[in-house]
Amino acid sequence: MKTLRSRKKSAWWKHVTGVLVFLLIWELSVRLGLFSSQQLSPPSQVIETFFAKLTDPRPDGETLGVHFLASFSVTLGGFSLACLIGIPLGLLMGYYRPVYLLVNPIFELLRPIPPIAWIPIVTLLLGIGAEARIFIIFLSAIVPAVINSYTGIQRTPQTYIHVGQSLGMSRWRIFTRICIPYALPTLFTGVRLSLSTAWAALVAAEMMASVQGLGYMIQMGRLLIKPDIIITGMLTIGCSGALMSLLLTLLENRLTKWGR
Amino acid sequence: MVGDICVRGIGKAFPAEGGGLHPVLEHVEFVIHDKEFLVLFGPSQCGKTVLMEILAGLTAPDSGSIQREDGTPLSTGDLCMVFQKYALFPWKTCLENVALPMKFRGIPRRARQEKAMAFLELVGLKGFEHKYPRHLSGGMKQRVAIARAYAKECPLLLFDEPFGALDAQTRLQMEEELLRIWQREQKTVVLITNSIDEALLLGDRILVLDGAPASILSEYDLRDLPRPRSLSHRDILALRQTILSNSSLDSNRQKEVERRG
Amino acid sequence: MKHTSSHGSFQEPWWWKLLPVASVALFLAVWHGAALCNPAMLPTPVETIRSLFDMLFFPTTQITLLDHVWASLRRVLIAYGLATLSGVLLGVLFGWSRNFHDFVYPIFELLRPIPPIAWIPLIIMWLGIGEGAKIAICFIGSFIPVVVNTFFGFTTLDRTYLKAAQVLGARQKDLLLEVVLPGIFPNILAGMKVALSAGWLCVIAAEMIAAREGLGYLIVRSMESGNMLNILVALIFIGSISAILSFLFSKLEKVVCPW
Repeated sequence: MKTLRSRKKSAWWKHVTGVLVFLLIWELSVRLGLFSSQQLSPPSQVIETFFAKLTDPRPDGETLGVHFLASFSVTLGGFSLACLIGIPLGLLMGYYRPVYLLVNPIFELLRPIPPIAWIPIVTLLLGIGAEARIFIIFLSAIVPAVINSYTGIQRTPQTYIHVGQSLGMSRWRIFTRICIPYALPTLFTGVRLSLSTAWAALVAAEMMASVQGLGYMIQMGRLLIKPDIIITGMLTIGCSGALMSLLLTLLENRLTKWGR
Repeated sequence: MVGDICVRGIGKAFPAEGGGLHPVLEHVEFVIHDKEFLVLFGPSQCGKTVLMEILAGLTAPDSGSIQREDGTPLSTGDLCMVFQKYALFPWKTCLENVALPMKFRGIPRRARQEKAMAFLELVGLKGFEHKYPRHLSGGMKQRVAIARAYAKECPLLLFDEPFGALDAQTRLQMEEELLRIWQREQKTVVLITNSIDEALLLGDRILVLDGAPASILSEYDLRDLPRPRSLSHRDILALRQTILSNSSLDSNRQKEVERRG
Repeated sequence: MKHTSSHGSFQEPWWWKLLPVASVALFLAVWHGAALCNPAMLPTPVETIRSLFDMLFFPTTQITLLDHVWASLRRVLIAYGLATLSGVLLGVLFGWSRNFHDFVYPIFELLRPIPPIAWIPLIIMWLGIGEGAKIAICFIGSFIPVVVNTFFGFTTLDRTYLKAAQVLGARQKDLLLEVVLPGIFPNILAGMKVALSAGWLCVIAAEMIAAREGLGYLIVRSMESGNMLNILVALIFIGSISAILSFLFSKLEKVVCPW
């Protein structure tokens, strides 16, 4: 059970081999006829399509870059809004009980609703423009932002607060100088979660009510029976999501150098 | 039975940051006499735990061997260990924890539960069989851990700073408990500690382990001192003075230099 | 839950207890007001509740509301069951065998960031729009958290437990059954909890895109026909079931994992 004995030796060749074998099986399964080319595109095809889509707007109407930017900008809009409103709200809820008592019931009412279920009601009220999508993403992404900010503050050990009190700090200063820094790691987890939720909600919104974006692109790929477009889109969505998460983690490490 | 155990030439090094090897133990040699209470005394972070894990068979030494009286190597089956962090399984009740080594040996349920009850009684925890570890205090948890180690019914028992996490009061109680159990069960015990008082109270012999890399620097024989011991006894106080002054940083370094020649 | 700003012997003013009530009342009032301004677009709270009862107890359509609810639930439960079993298995394999982990985990890491919803077009292309497709999508959504959390349990398991078991005489089989699996059980449960809400989310999403019954289908049909009332009723149901599932799971957790 070697994982538990944590051998630190680098096994990168195993990683690479594993991925290569996977790609090989994938490639062969299409070439040898296990899957028809209508159902699955081999990796070679996907790579080709990826590079083609960088400059070619066919067959779905836009290049990969345009789709990506459309998706990214909408996500960024909804996500930033969610954090700008959600984080302060969560922090205040964690520290001031009246705020919690006031906001929490509404929050608990709206929280269990899956992001995608907001689409019909928002679409009916706001149409299918970018604002509607930003709003849907906002609704989805605000939940983790609030919850994690709130939990982060709640977890501040009483000892630290007592220290602040004994130093004569006002309630507000304890909040800003003690509780908020302590809550930063949990908060950042919330921000990361918020981003991935936003990204997933975006894909959903685009698949249902949009004429641009990566979600729209993969939907078109299905309608045009072009699995290479679908897979290219899926991988782009996946990689972008992972990259954004990575960037956030790097930012967090910068800001919380005092360690976990 | 294992008889006397010979620890010969144990060395262990770990990869150091920035390349190379960081030696932790070097040429550790001593004998563990049958049925004695041996104390390994030394400051924290000097490699005592590494030595314990090597004795227990959890880590392999880079050099050296540990042999039983008949020449065969010591195996994990001959011994059991009590950790500083108790290591009681929180998903098992006290009884199930204590019965575990017997379960591994294949003893049927009814029999091992009866025996486990007996061991819990031995450590004074009758009535706590069906409680989960989280309901117990630190001292009680350690008693369960001791009961569990004895339940393996093996000739050698290793204790890795078992009372280090307890408060001073509980620690004294536990030391007396351990002594009582040892005298009753007649097993060989090796205990590591960084408390000189604990060493003087418990040990038949005290081996001082220190240095970087660590080795056995001196040995003190307490078998002539009668039990139960009192820390204010004249001879004990004298010994305490001797050990402490010899164990100062300078004199240890000095001895190391002498030893290496 | 000790509140951070309440210091020690702080007594809450009595009127604080009314705040939640006031909050909900305000919410309903705003809703009602907006509905009065926009009677065509937005029904009032009262109308919504009445409609909900009508749909529940006096169904007029061929497929009743409860039929839709059951269709959605059924799909989730099947997918969830499959995902939990296979997810735990894969997670344990990743943790137990270093080689398996080194070879296979990168592939998992490659596919993991893809949101389950993004799988929908591909799955539909493969499996059509039948039950299989929806269960497959839910499966993906539930599978990933179970694997991730189970494996995480392995990496965070206190090594002292393993050492203790070894000196107590455990063999490999014993280590797995007596130490590792119970030790990571809380993590498995955490993964299952996330997986349940993920599964519910996915089934709604899948039904919104390709289904003939289910709450997701209901809500998207209502969107197409502009029937706000139905949308709201479906929304209430979707939210309620989600909350009930979470609640039930928390209760289950306490029973199954007393430590």
